[in-house]
Amino acid sequence: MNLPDVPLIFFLLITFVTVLALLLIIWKTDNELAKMQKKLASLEDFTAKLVHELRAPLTVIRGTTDMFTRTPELADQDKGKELLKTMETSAGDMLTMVNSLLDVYKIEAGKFQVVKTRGNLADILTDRVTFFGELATENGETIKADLPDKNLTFNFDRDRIIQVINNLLSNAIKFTPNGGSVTVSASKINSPADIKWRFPSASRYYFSGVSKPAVLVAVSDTGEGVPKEKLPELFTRFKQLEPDNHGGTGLGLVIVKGIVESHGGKVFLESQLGTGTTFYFTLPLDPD
Amino acid sequence: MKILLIDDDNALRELYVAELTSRHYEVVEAVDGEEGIVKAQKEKPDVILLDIMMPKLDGIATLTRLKQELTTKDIPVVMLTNFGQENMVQQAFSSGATDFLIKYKVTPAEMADKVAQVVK
Repeated sequence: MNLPDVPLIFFLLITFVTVLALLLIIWKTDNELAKMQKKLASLEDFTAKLVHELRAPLTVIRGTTDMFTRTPELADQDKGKELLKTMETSAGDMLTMVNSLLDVYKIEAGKFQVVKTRGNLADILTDRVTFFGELATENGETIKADLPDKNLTFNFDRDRIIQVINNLLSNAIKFTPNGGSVTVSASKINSPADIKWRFPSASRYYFSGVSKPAVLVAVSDTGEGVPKEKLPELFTRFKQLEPDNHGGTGLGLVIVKGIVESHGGKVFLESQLGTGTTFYFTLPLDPD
Repeated sequence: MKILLIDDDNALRELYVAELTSRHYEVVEAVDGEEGIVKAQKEKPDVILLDIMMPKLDGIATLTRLKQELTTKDIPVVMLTNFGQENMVQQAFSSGATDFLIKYKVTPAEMADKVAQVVK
């Protein structure tokens, strides 16, 4: 090899590496930019949806106050009382939405905390099924609890777990057509084998991470099901399958996941198009 | 005078029905576009109030079908929207809407005034 060739090869090598590094940087920046743009677009979508969802009950509240100002005698009529009740529900809906938004921000900032006390989850599930019975009947659906073990006493955040169950049950009822059914079941689980025995249709894959004794809750519906490609999006903020068709802000499942994970538990779901969906969540039986 | 109110918002429907019945209109309700089309054909209303954002069949699609049907094509339709988006309103007008209302901007009384204007 001639002497002048060495610096030349060295120079070419440096140039090649530099160009490669530059290309890599450009590619990465491009990728990041695309990701940020996507995030911004979904934030914009979400804000528009949130504004719509908040404005709808506000329109009702303002409209009702306007009617009562013009026609004060409404207050003594049955119709007026009904309108006031609806207005109260609308205000409640708004409050729930604002609270959900705060919950999501806390979850995402890692500032979400649960306060565990001893309680019987079986009692809560039975109570919730009764509570949602009326709504299910209104929609032409049946709802039942399948609780072989009436004593599921352990430590959990009562209010937050009720919030989880409310979310899953109202979703199940909302997405199940007339004539369908919703079932809530729960059992103590000591090993994956228990899961296979108690929930035969559950895919073992989901529960491979469940090693500690836990309570497993399943909410099944006979609804339209979730398309496979949409499954990963379900627990992501701002996502709802048909955003404009079912109302709501799509925050519910984000909160469900946040609450369950704050307990050290996990959320899974299985779905078959045209057959139905089952949401599972575990709550560990830690003696804390 | 019969009015068909097509909107999926139960609370708003209740409020509008209260206002319209207090003005002695007969009100028929539908919760989505499909039910709305069926009721429009059966009830032959004098005016249709039609929400844009609805499940199953949205307002624009419902309007298009109402305007294609012989039995419903001449019924004036007032679109209800919460957005007031230019393109939606324009689309509604070009599909045959008579007028539109931005829900959060009008009181029930103003909505009923608009109905009175349209049926006149």
